[in-house]
Amino acid sequence: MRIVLVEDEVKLAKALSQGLIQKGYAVDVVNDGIKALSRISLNHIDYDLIILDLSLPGMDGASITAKLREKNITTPILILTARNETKSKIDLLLSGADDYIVKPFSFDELCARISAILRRPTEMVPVILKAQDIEMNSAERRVYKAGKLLGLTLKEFVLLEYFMRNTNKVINREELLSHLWDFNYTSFSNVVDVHIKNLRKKLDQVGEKNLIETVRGTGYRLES
Amino acid sequence: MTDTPETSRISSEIAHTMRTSLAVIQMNSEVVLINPQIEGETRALLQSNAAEVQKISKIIGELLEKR
Repeated sequence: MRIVLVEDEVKLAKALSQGLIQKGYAVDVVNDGIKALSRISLNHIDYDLIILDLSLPGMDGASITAKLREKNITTPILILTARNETKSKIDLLLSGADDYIVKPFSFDELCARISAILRRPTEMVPVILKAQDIEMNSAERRVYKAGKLLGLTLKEFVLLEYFMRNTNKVINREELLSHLWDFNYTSFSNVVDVHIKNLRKKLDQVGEKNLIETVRGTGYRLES
Repeated sequence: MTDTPETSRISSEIAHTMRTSLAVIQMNSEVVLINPQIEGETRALLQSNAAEVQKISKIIGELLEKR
């Protein structure tokens, strides 16, 4: 497993990389935010994990995370932060980081978190989803159509999110019911149709074809 | 001390600087401890350093940081 460690505090970077190497990881150290962004953008395929300090010269860790996620680089990111404030932690996770650890931290805890992140599926799900002219930020729970913010209810949002994570696939009512509703709803319920109808009202222009198409006798489909 | 945006910013900066230095102390101690040849009193001393760092970190959280 190869890790890129982005940390400007030289003594900490040295101790951390020595420890990680002793645990069997290959470690590249970068001390500057802008260099880190360019190196990771070019070589992200080689890395299994990015460990990123939050305060860096050049560009901070949260901005690097956001930029990498914008480029659809989904390599897991673990943030090292010296800020133990709730708002800062929430912002980090919303920017697309997978986990964070507050300094000073135990080396064993860091290793445990690294193992947990690396156990997750390698194909990580991007935060920004796109289909046709719809753009969805799943972390911020916002949806834009042709750049215009749509006001969706929570259920409409999760319904659309499911279609956007499964574009071009025909999805039937039962699948939607089992993924998005609890077991109190049976397949006899028309709850799916009602929500699809409401969602279409918000997504489609009058006279245009439905973005979420009905595939007769089978289900629904959203093309990418 | 009155909690104005300025004092809050200064507190946060102090906490940040102290946490960074403490991280260096703890990491230096713990990385040395990976080596099984470090034994006895030296091992106990390094473990104690790491534990004390965590205590100071908790105090920093209580005194200087907003939740």
